[in-house]
Amino acid sequence: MSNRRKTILKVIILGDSGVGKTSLMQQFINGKFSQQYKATIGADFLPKDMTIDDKQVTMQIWDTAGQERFQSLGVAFYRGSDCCVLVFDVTNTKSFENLQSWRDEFLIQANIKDPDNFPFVVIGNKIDVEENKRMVSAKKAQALCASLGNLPYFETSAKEAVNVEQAFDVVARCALQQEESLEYSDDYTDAVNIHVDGDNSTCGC
Amino acid sequence: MIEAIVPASSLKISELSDNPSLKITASGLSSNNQLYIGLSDGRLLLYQLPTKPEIAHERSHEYDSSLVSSGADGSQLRNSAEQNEQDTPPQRRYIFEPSKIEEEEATLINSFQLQSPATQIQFLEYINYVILLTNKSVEVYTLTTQHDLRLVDEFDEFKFNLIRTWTDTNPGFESSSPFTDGPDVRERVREEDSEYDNQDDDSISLATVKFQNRPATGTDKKFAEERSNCSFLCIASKKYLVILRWRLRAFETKSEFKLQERVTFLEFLNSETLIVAFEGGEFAKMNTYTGQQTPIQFQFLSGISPQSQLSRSSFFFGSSTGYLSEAFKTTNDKQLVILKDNNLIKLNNNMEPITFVRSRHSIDFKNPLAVSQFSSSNLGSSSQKKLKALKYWFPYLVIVYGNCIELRSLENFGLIQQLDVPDPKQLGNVIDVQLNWRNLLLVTNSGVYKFLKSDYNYQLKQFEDDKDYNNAINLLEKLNPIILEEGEEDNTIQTVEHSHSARQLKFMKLRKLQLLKALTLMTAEKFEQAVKLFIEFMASPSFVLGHLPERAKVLLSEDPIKSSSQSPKEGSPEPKEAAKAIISSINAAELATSKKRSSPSRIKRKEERMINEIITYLTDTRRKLTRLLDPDQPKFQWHGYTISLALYEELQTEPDFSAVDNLKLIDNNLFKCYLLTNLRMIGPFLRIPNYCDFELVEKKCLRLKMHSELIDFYYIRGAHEKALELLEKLCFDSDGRDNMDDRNSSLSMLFNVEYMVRYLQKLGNEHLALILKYSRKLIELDAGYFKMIFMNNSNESEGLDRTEVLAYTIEHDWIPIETAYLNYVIFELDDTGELFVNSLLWLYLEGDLTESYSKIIDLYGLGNYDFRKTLKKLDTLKGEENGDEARKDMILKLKIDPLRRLKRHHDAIRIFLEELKDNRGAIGYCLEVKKDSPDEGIDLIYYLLQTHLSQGNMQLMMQMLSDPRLTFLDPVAVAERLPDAIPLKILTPFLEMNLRNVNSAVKSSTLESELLKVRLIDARYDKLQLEKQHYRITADSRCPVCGESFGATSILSLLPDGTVVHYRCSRNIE
Repeated sequence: MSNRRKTILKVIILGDSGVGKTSLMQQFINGKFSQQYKATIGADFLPKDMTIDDKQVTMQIWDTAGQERFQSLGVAFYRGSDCCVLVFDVTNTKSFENLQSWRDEFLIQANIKDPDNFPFVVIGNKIDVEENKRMVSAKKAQALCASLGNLPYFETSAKEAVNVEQAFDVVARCALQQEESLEYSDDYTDAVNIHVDGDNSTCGC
Repeated sequence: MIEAIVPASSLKISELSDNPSLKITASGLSSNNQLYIGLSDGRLLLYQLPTKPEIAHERSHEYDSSLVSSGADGSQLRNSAEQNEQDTPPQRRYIFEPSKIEEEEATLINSFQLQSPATQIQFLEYINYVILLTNKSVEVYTLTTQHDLRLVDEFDEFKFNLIRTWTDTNPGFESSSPFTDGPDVRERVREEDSEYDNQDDDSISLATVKFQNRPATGTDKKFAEERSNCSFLCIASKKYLVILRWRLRAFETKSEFKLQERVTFLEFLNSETLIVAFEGGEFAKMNTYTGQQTPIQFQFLSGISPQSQLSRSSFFFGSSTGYLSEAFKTTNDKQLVILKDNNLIKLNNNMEPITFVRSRHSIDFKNPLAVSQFSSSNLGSSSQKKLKALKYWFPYLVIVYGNCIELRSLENFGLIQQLDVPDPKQLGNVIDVQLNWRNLLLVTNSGVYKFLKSDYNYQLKQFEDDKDYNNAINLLEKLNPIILEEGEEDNTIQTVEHSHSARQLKFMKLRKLQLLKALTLMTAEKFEQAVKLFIEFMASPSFVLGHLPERAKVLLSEDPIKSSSQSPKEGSPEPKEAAKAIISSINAAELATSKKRSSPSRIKRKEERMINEIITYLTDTRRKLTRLLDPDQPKFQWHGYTISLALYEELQTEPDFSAVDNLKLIDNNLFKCYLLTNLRMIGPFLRIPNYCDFELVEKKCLRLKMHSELIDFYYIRGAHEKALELLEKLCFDSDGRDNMDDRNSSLSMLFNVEYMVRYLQKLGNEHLALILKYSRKLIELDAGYFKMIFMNNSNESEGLDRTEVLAYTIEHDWIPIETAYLNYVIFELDDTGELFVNSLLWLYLEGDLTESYSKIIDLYGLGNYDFRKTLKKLDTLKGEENGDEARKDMILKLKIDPLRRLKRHHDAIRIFLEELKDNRGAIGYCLEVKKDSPDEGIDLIYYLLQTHLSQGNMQLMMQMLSDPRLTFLDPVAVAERLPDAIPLKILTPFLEMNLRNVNSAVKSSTLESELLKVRLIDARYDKLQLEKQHYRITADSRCPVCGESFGATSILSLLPDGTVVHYRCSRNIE
């Protein structure tokens, strides 16, 4: 009898208000994009089942309200995160400059034991805009990601579904790696690993 | 244990005292406190009990911890052996002695003689019926206003053994029944808080987290959502059930059902559902209309039954028929509690065992609860220890054994109170427990004993004194806020908001208890649970930090790095000076090991867990406080309160502690916690805005050589000079070697000057003085750093005062840097200010002209330079450059643009003709002038022509006239300017060129005319084509799709093949 477990990977999306966090999530999970901006209230999560190297995982993507900057969300929200996606808008320099701040805030709130090795993925969204409206070059973003510890960087368009799948594939892999490292590392951690039993295993004897 | 109920009195029933052989056979208590007692001689006595609310302890009652009263004589004594214990409250022993309590003279209203003794008494109060089970038959009486009973009906077709009534009318439904008459019935205050269990997600941590598809829990629903306004009487006879139904006061139906087993217990769940217990111990729910039964399954019970599997398989002891069957709904109508096989199981609306209970209860919520068949009290014989009855008297379970009465929590089955009966024989055989909201009557075959509830506030105080916070919280959560008393400590909300609701008061009490509970958890080293409560109930940082375990206090108060690094020198009282001294004393050896950070003091695993929980609390609290200080989001919702900064500060234990004071406390401790457990979090923490004590951080980071973290901290605090001073020290003061020369040293790997450059890059114009001060050494080391600092295209570098930066480069005589910077300012930043253009022009003019000629031309193109000074400068250069023709020509050419801009065109023409011998250049110059001013340009061309004529230079004149760039000149006007004596032959090329030009123009014009004619023909053809497209419909025309003719109002559609159809037919075709 196979004993296949379905792993839940908790992924949190952070970034300034209006950078497209919800759109990215919607595009990745539902393949939809809405031009209409609706501010997220509090936080929502959506699940997505994926197969990573023959392993069944459920990615639970937590979308946050960027405008409130952590303050309304509780400790429980951040605990047990397996990966954090930092999103900025390539047409908004400020959102890019705030990336490190988002990263530091996340580390503090989630009380990460090993902040140097926690997986972050940076996404520069809205690359569908005209080139002259773009304020943050890919080079600049890559330089920042390199300085923050060689973070993976993706340029996406949630509107036109460009690179979204690829970005979240890497997110899922990073999260899975983190989840597995937690599973086999020191038992003392704040993260709660939730496993959903796929098949009921029975004793072979 | 507390005193939750008090034996108040024994009811004086003179009939029993007159005739000791008489026994009580049945009892019934109505909601207006009328008690029916059935005697073994067939008499039925009707007593009126006091209707005024009776509470054992009034508000004025002071809780006496040394003596607990018991009925009249105060025989319940506190165990004296435990009197002196301070922390653990003593276990009290409560005693109930039936013979010693006060006798109460109840008012006998009436007495009736029945043919046989009553064995069960029930009421249908709404329709004013008293139902008696007597001698296996059921008699229905109506109660008159004179308290007489009149027989209405009798059922004796079967041998009935069980009756059960239920009335399903709205509480406020108009009724004139004697049962509900009297003001006290209507004045009744609900004890239970109707909202208390509807706040599953009302916690701060999840306050704004919206869960989609939240799992629905059966506990949210009541069993009887809508009232049927029916009254029911259910009678059982072995396997037969008869259900009679009245709607309002009119009899409606009588239904008979046959069941598969003998019925032992009945309870109405709602108008459609009856809970039935069978002889075998099984429960089922039965539809009261159809009789359809659904067994209630309790599969999980097998594992928790108090009886072992072995004994259950016995012939004689395996049957569960000996167990008491009971079922009741809690007063909020959301839980059905069933007693089966000595297990008390709490079920929700879906008949599923309740497993989900909101977080506050989840710690000590138990389901199922194992009820012991025998009491733990040793008094009396074994048969007297047996379980007699189990009832729910809000908010506790009342479990009656022959030798004691236990009150237990419905949530966790914790023992609230145990009343021992020293002489069970005196009590007699318990036959029933009668309850209403006022009192509890214990009915035995020899007497009736009345118990009263203690005042709830008194109960709460007892729990609090006993440090039994779980039960205190369980009780308080269920209580209706309006029955709570306000203590001094509960005034916070009132003082802040000037008004407070009972619910807020209740919440403040609850908060106090939860925080006290958290403290006990903390003491018990259950840090996670404690912190969860501290967070949820917003404990103030000073409260939490002040109550940490001693070990945590020691860890946070002592210097976590004392042992691993040098201590500050004595006699340096000023911390700033000390820090300065440390910075100055950083030597190469220290620098070389700076990355090898001292690991935090070794702390134990358990301590680490504790510190981590403290971190969780501190980070959560700092987030809330930060939010309150944010002008955009100054308030948030929390447990029904809108928390503002003012209110938050009032909720704190330290009255003079402002939010900022709290944040300082939090951040200092958080910093220390990270030092103890996770040094890698210091960096992220110091990079976000924080309230850490500056000197504390500076001192600790310097000692731990956490330089990059300290520099980040300096940056976030705006202490840039300190940061740069430290960086300079780290980068340059390494035994006189600068680290750029030794890339392999650990120092250069860590603190090469690029760190300092990066720091300078992040500073804006307001710190220009600092930038200039600290960049000098870097630029002297490598001029490339100037570019990285001042020319990096960042907002900061672009915003620097360029004039000052320029002056800085001039001051240090960095000519190549100055040139590069000016080029950057002018051509990349498009700042073409005269100062910058002139400065660059001067640099070029003073340099190698050959190299810079084209760049000067570019600068000329900007136009924003000092023409006269440039000319003067060129004049001086001319003198110097004697003998070098190429340079001379260059200088002459460079003079042309300033001359043109000064409108000294004749001088420019002169230079072209006389010094540069460049007629074509002169023509080009004229054309350049013409671009800006056409008239001036043409005049200048004629001036050039005139100059050639006056000098008699026919060759240059003809070169000019045959120049293709001048074809626009009017040949007539040119001819007029030529002298009459000029030979025509000389003019031939000019005339030929003009003739050719005129001829070409004529041909072009003809061609254009013909093309326009063609276009006109094309347009006419298109018009004709458009006019040809038509379709003629006559009265005989029919739609080829539907075959019908076209009406005057038909909407038509033209198909691509030209067919006309109805519009709707065209849709059908699609």
